[in-house]
Amino acid sequence: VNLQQPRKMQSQLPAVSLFRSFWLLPLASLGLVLLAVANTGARAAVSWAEPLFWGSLLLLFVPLAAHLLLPGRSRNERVGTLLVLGLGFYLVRVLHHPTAPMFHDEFLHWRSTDTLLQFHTLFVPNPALPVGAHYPGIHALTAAVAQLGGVDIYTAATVVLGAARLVLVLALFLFFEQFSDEQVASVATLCYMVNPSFVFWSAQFGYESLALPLAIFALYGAARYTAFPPTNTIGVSLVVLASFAAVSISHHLSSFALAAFLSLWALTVPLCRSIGKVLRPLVSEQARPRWLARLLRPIMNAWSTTPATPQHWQFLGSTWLAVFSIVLIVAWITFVAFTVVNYAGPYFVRLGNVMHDIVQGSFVNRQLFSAGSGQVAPLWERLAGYAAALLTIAGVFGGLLLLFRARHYTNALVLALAAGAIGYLASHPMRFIPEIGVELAARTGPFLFVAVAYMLALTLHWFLRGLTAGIWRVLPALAVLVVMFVGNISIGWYPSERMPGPYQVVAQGRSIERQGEAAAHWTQEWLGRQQRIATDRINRLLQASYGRQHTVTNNELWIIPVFFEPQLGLEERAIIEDGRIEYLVVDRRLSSGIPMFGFYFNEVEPQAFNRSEPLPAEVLTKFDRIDQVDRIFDSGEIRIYDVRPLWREPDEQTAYP
Amino acid sequence: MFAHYGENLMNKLPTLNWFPLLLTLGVGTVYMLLEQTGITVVSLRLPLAVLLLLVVPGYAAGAALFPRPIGGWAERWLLTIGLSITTAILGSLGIFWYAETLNERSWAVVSIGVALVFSFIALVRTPAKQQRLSTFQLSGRQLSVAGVSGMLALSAILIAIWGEQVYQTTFTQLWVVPAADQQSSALSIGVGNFEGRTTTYSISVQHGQDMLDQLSALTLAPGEEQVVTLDIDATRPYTQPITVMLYRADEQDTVYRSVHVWPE
Repeated sequence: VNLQQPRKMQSQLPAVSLFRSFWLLPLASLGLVLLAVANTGARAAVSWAEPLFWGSLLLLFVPLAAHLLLPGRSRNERVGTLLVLGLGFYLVRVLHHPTAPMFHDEFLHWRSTDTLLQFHTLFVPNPALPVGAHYPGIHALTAAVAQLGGVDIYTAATVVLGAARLVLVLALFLFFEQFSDEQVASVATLCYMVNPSFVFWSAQFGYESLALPLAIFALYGAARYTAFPPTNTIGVSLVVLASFAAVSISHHLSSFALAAFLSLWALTVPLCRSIGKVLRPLVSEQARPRWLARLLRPIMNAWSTTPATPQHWQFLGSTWLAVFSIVLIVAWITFVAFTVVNYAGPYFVRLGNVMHDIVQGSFVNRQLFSAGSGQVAPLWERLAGYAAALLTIAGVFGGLLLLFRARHYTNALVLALAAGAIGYLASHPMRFIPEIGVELAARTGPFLFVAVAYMLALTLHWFLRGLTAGIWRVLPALAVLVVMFVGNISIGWYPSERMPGPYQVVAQGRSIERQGEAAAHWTQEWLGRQQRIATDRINRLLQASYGRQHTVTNNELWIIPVFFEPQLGLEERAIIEDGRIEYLVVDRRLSSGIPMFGFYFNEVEPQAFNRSEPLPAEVLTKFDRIDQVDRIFDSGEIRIYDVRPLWREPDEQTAYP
Repeated sequence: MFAHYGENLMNKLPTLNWFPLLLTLGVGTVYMLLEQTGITVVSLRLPLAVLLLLVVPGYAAGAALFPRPIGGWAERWLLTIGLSITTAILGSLGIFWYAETLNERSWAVVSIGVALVFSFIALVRTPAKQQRLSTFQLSGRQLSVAGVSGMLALSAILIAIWGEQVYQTTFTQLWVVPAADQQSSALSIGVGNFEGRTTTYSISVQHGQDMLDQLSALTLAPGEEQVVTLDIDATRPYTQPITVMLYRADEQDTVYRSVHVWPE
């Protein structure tokens, strides 16, 4: 393993030769064309769509990955290949739904950006995502591109996220390169691309998709800042401070993750030294038992040869950067985004409930590879998923072992990465916890996988040691990466989420279609904005974004009985009255199937994740039989009811715009 | 003293690095010209906006902060895009605090302003001969391959857009709301055609078994909508809702859509 001190500044710029094997570029593009054809076929529900989907992804991934694994590639070639692969994976999300939002969070951020464009100011409340208004980084940048470029919000977001993807790939490579050679750095970046979130989650229009690249950019700056001997300190520190500030006002979790990692890094330096003092007698020649001394000796070697000055410099640099990032976060939360406390609070409560259930023995774990509707992934996907998880665990442990075997190991930053990789493994059991566990795993995964990627790269590099030529020599390593890539996509995404297709009940992009979108546009045009509307999860997104409505959420009002009870009794009428609900948007298709996500409205509704039969059609059509309730809109599947007469005083005017 | 600095600067002018400043001025001028002349060429505006927001400020900032090369083209591009994004985000916050109005003009002014300031710093700090830009050594054949690849990627996006447009659900919207004029007892009845083909409809308005009004042979092209106003007799006692039923010409016996309102 070739670990090294941070790179010195290069004195001259090399000429750029992006690809020795230039044919890889059209091959990757061909993969994208086939993917577009597969997606179009999936919309028509043809059987060949899914095999073509996987085939096109592999056509994009395999040649470029093999190119990176092979030795003898120049630094420029490696960076060029990584950029093509990174952008290619970004286009996978674009090709899924090229002209409009598709994922849940995309609609929430679309609304925030739309509000910014409408009111020309920041921090305007967004009832669909209250905390989002206080982290306006991506909204501001997207709005700026939309206005200056004269394009719609989604086109602007596509451009912004494309730029963010370039930053992510470049920053990852250069960050890894600070403490390893360019081959390890490029393989580590490649390994990062096989994480379950890279293709879809990190490419969606959400604040994390911009904040994560900025956080890695900041981390790269921090690594350069702490490099010894210090060079151009003022320039680097300005870059770091500016990027820290941008992360802090762009996304809460990214800023927390950055601060946590910097703190871990700062703690690692002195921790190593103090542990060393304790352990030194244990590894001496006279120490007993011998097996323990033998086990600990390589670990001791890790810091016993560490020169003091770079360690001190790294400690000082990482400490003050950690303190600065924490101060920024605290200041932002205190003065601007205090609502994040209310946002994060319920997560801890739900986690606490899970812990309580585990202690009580009443915890029911989630079925892996199973959607909320009970649909189970095919066997081969499940096998690939398990294999990916096992390979990740093996790769991380291999990396850790190699780190401690390397006698010239000198960098506390790498030790902090090792701790992060262990943290990722520790987070694996969260996937057994329904909803909250999956969500937390998905949200923390992109950060922790930076550390995992490095450990995997060390193992793969060891695997490829001594290799001189011949593509067949890299085949085992390539096979490992392919299994991890396929398996992680299977773990992270339901089959119905990966590709477009015919309508499915509450199934992310598969439930977003023109009838719901048109109904949302209609409410804005004919009912006006900010009407209080109650509806299911999917139409809530559409009404909150395209409809610009105030959609009532579970946090605000327990609306479920209004839709679930067979009759609209006194209690249900009281809910409507107390919540001043003006309109109900009812999608009759809810009774056509079990929701793919496991729930129709929210995760705490009755029978959530445990439903065996769809919602009865009668409970959705009961509003037709209520006196004074107007059915003002009908597009076949979607109906809109005016329920204001249930609570409005008789002499109040009907307030249509 | 100032004369001394001025003389020094004049002597150094030919060897200074003018590129960030010229780039900023060039992009800014073209964008402002487009704005002032009111020319709205989307295909030109978007690349200019990308340059203005995502390239130029970061490039100038990178040149100012790192007058000596800090690595290869990867470092330079990371600084260019990363610092541009950072500048735009922090700039938005600055606009909010000082001007409060985030609009096209304020964003353009901040981007160009920041880029100009950094360009001047870079001009003073960076000797031209040290700012040697890396050159892309691409042969004609490689350029052709890159072009073909770009065309393929573009065609993938076009195929995806086409697929999205073709496989759409088809439906018709029917609605009834009180007419915009609140003083009258009129109703607005609307029909929107999303069937993907020209469709002919008929509408009947009933109160119980009483036929209040009828409209036939309403032909709408795809995407077209029609709104009619129906005056209702406010003096009449209504014991049931007024129901509006829509029929398609090809299935005249089946109610295709139905809405109803309870008169006040």
